[in-house]
Amino acid sequence: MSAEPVAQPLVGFRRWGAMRGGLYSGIFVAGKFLPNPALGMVAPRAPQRPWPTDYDRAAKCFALRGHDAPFSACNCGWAAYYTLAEEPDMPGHECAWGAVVAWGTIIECESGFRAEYARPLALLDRRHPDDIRERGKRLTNAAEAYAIPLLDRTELLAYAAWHGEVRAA
Amino acid sequence: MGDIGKPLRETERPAPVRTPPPEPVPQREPLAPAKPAPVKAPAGRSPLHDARAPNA
Repeated sequence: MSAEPVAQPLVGFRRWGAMRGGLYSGIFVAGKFLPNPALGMVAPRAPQRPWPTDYDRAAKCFALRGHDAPFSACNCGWAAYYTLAEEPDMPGHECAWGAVVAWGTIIECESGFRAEYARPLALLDRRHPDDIRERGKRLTNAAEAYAIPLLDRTELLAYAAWHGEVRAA
Repeated sequence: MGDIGKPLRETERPAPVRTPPPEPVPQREPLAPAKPAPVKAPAGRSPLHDARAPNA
């Protein structure tokens, strides 16, 4: 697959685990957030790092015989969906949804993409109803750390579209 | 992140320009009614000035 040049960055929507101002990639299992399980499998003692707040970090593949990320036959790269659900699921207390802008090499898939570079644009003002950690300011703390706004869904979609192409799924 | 489906194409896209998006213009407070312009003294020496003159 050869990369087709496109004039605009790509905008997407994804969820993170938000903890103490950091936005972490990871998965939710039975309501519990597991940061970056791929890294945990190859390097269990490696410290988990949140998405950087002050620079653009290139995606990495944690496969043992790694390759440049993103790679079409892998799941590596900064991932996001093309669209944001009306009421996105909140599988755990740490869950935070938001918009990202992506650039560099991008593998565009059926309902989302995996990118070489991505950074958060804004967070959705939607919290887990039972979340009482960080004095209820989990999203506010993350928004302040990344210097990004905390917006309702309508505002988030408009704000994201200003930064790049929004694709229909 | 959940499943995003099968790869369809690969693109190369430029980095976003780091300029802040346009912000809504804040609503301005209604202006207070204008004060009347100060009355200008007529040109020439004022009577007060004359009264303070040493040899008036």
